[in-house]
Amino acid sequence: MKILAAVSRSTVARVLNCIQVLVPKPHVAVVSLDEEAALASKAMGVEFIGGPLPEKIYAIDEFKEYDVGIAALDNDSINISVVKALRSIGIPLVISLLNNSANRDLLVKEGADYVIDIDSYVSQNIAASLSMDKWVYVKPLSIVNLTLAVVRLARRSILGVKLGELKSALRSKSIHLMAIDRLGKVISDDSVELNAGDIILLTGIESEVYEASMDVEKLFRRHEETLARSFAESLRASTRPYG
Amino acid sequence: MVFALKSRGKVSLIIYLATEKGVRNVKHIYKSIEDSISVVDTYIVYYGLGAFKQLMDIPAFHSEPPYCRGKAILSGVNLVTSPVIVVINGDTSCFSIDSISNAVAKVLSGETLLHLSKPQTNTDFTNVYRSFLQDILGELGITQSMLYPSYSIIVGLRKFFTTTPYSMWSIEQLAAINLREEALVVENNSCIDSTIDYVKGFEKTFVKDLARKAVEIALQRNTISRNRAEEYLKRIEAA
Repeated sequence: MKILAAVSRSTVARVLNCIQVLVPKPHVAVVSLDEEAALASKAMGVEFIGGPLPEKIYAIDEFKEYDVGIAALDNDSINISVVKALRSIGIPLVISLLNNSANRDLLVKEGADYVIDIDSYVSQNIAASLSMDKWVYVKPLSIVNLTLAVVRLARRSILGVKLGELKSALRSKSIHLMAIDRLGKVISDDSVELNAGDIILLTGIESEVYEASMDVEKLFRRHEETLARSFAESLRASTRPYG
Repeated sequence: MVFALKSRGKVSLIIYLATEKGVRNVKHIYKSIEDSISVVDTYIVYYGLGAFKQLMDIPAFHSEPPYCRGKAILSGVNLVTSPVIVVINGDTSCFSIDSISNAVAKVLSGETLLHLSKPQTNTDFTNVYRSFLQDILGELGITQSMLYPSYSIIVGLRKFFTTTPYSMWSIEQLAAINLREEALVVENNSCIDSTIDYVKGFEKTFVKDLARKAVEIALQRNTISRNRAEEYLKRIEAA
């Protein structure tokens, strides 16, 4: 396999480390304008071609024989122009990094087969670390439409929702449900009530995961309504006339 | 004129914008230009915060970091393919199809390499810009008509922009530094433009960055001595 990687100084090591572990070892050519990329390529025993992108891709005839093209630059406009170039010279598989999620459609339209969305990954990880009682959706892999929905319980822990109830609510869905307690252990007992700091994870295809998370939301709302009703009734029962 | 331009050469069109007003302008700008000039490819480059609301079937690119106009123009330049580019500020109505057609005709014929069209601005930003850049641009031999902070229409050869560093505010002044004065045309489009909101309060930040880049380019080209460059840089930092 022959891989052509267009990289910048900040992505060169990351890309080459991934490629180096492939078996059988592919032939790799790195194209970059950055001298740091030349240094890293040499250290890793990889062919380096210096020059501006995407012009260099059009200029070298030999690149037409490559099997895979990788656009891994810090700038989406150059990633898009590199993807266009890789496509136009007939490279069958094109992978691109995406630095701003809003440019995903454009990158796909210009010919990227797989888009690795760094922006979404970073921002959703930050959101997941900070959010409580709110769903966060993460796409861990670009080769399948796999989505991970995560919610960390805080105030909702008082509702006393059990793992078994979640499983029942999601029985008809083709998704994988997992609950992890605050110590990082998987909760396996269905009768256990979820506590503050516990995490609910849903994994599956994007649309189904979204629907499943809505079903879990409905379950929580039902419990909230029940709690609110019983609280209102307890107030009514304890109210006494003055005097 | 229109027929002649349609048949003679093709250009790439970049419309950059950062505001809601710009979103409304884009459709009008695109239709007007496409009717009169032969356009190979067009990109809208949005450099405001949040996502751009797609209006038409024109590819829309989101440039980062937000409110960095220089990077937005460079992103558009990276995306397009024609050697001649037309860059329009979508946030302003300061353009006319005739002036764009004339500029394109001049660049395609080789009469000029970079054609800029400046709106009338008399804002705090213009004053700050002049206070920082008048001396530097003068020393670089750039015509005095470059003393405006931004240009609503830029028509020129793509290569001048790909090889030029950008500043937070602009790239056109820095591209102009690489040209002989006779290859540069700056026209007044007699349109009154106002400063975009995001600039307010950050005038000095934008201008100082631009001035620093101008000094660095001048130093690289040996247009000014190292001592003179250091003097300028000190003055910029102290302001």
